[in-house]
Amino acid sequence: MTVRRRVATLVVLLLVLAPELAHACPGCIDLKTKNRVAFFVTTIVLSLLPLGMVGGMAVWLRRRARALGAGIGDRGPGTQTPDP
Amino acid sequence: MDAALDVAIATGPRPEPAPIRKLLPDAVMGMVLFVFTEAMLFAGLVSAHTIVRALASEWPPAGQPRLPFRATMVNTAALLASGAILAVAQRTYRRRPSDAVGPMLLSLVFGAFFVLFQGREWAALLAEGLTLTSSPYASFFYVIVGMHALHAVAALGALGWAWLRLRAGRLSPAQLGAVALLWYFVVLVWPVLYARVYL
Repeated sequence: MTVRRRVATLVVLLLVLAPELAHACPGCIDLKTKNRVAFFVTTIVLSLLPLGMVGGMAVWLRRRARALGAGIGDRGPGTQTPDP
Repeated sequence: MDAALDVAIATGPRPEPAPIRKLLPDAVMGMVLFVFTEAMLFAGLVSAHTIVRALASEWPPAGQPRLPFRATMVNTAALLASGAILAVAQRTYRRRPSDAVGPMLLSLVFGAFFVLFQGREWAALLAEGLTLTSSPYASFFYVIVGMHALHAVAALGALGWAWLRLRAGRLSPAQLGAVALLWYFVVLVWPVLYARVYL
């Protein structure tokens, strides 16, 4: 058995046998339904809120651009001038 | 020949850049981004409160003064009225700016009432023994409601500044838009905080 193969075998054995249950997730260490629901809901809210705000803003700006006939997307980035 | 043409092109009149029609004034766009970050701050605080509340065996804890949710309901109505009056003021401003002075002052008065009432409520709760360190229940109350009060005071200051400029005839639509956006945020985030903290 070559050294490389021995090392590989050792790594595989460590990966398979060494890990134990990691209590990193607060939802997994407390099995009360109320707590799990709280963690789940807050995770969803904190994940979706920024996406919703930025996405909502993008949609609103696009609609406004269309309404004003500015057509930002049609003119391309080269026509933008910086603010004075 | 080609060199002469190049010089003519280089020195000739430059084409005018196409005029850019801004979708939002810079001041309003800046305020939108600020409001987004503040919304995440409050979302984080409310999330932490939700989790601690779920982990607690009893909420509110025994022996702690109860929050005056009925009196604060009146205060909430005053804050919502302030936001609605500011919307009226903004609409009036578009027609004739000088006519918006009155509604904007009324909005300021309602907002100031909210802040003063909150201060009075805090003083009463402190006298009853609900302090920042008495329990997680009290800590969350003071941190969340205090953070909102901080925003309300800052936004009131901005609103007062805008009102003074409006009275002097120097308030631009962008300035009014930015200040109003901050106040709408303060107004609209409050019912969420009230429902989570007081009820």
